[in-house]
Amino acid sequence: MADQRNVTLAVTGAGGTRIARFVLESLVKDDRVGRVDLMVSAAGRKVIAHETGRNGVGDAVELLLGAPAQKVVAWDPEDLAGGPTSGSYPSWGMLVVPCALGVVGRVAQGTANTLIERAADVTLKERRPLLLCVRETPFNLIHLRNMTQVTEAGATVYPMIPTFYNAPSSVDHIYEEFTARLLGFIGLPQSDYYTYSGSKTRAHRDRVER
Amino acid sequence: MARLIVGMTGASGAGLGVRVLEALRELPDMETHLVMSRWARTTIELETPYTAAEVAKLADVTYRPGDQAAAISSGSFQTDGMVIVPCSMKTVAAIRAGYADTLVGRAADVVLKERRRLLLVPRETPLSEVHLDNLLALARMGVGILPLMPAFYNNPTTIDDILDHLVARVLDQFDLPAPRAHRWSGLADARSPAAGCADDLSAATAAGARPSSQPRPARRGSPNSTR
Repeated sequence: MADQRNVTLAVTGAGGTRIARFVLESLVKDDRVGRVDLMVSAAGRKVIAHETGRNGVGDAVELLLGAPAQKVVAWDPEDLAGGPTSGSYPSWGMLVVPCALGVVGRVAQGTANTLIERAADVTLKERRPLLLCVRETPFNLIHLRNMTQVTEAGATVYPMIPTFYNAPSSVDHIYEEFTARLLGFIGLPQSDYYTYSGSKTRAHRDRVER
Repeated sequence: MARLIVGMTGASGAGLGVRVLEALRELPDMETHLVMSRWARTTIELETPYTAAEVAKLADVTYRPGDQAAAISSGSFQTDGMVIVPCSMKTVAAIRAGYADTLVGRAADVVLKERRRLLLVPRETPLSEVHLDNLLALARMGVGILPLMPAFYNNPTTIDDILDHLVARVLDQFDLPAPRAHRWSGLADARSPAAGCADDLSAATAAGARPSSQPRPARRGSPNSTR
């Protein structure tokens, strides 16, 4: 497909790596996506290991998905010479899911210590979409200042905050809904997600009928 | 006697506001003063199994949002602070601008001027530059910003787990005991079957449930008064 896009996905050391798995799964099966460039930070590996019970070593794709995926290219986050280090490397834009606040701070300062931070820096300089799905609460002043700064530079701060008007029924329902909203935001609308329409929520119906 | 103002406004996540009110009810010597905005009432009805009238009964005192003459409109009425949960971006903007056209905004304004603890629990994603700028300005004034964001280190398996954890994090901000808290204490502990540790309500109550009369740890303290 001629108009397929390449998406860069980074997984860093914050909670919520299951959402990264859902995002990667969706990108892999989406015909609108040609290639996914994946980077998992060392801390990201530890969190994946903790949240899945897997051993945090080995191939990043298998670590995240539990199986290989042809469409995904895994880059060593310590390899500052990897493809995403250059603006000439074709990429539609970059998602960081989940995004540690330390990463936001380094992106805000332009401190490209790893390939993940360098790729984010490049994404901004090339004026491509950069989405940072932070997972942190409460926010301190430094977090808010850095998030404001990256937003001024063109990034989108997209905290991993669920919606409740769709009356989610399970934790996975929350993750799936967040994933669908996130992908819709970057122009890959999904077919099955909740669209708020005013008043006919499940909770509302349940109360009226009880 | 501890006294807390609870504001609820028209952001998604009304269920958390209800949970916070329920948790505060369980604490001895806690008096809650509730004000729900017009759109909080709508959100309660859209998102929770409760009516706004049922939620109002969870508080000791409930005010109408247009009642600018309420007790909490004056700094002379002493409180230990205010939590707004959920907090809409409109409310964030109103507090930042000092535009106290409803009782929610006025009560928050008073909490700020009296250098008492103000905690906002916003539910919005993504965040625009306007949202971030307003939140940043408020954080600079010492306001606590605790977005309604699930944690994962507590391995939530139900939505109740997510909300319970957030309730505990809200109570933490006021140094109140959180019996359902699940606290991170390192990877080694997290791997063990009895992961996490809960606060002991009976032990914590004696020490922490009366923030107005107890010295607070310097780390949290009352940031509004320390700038």
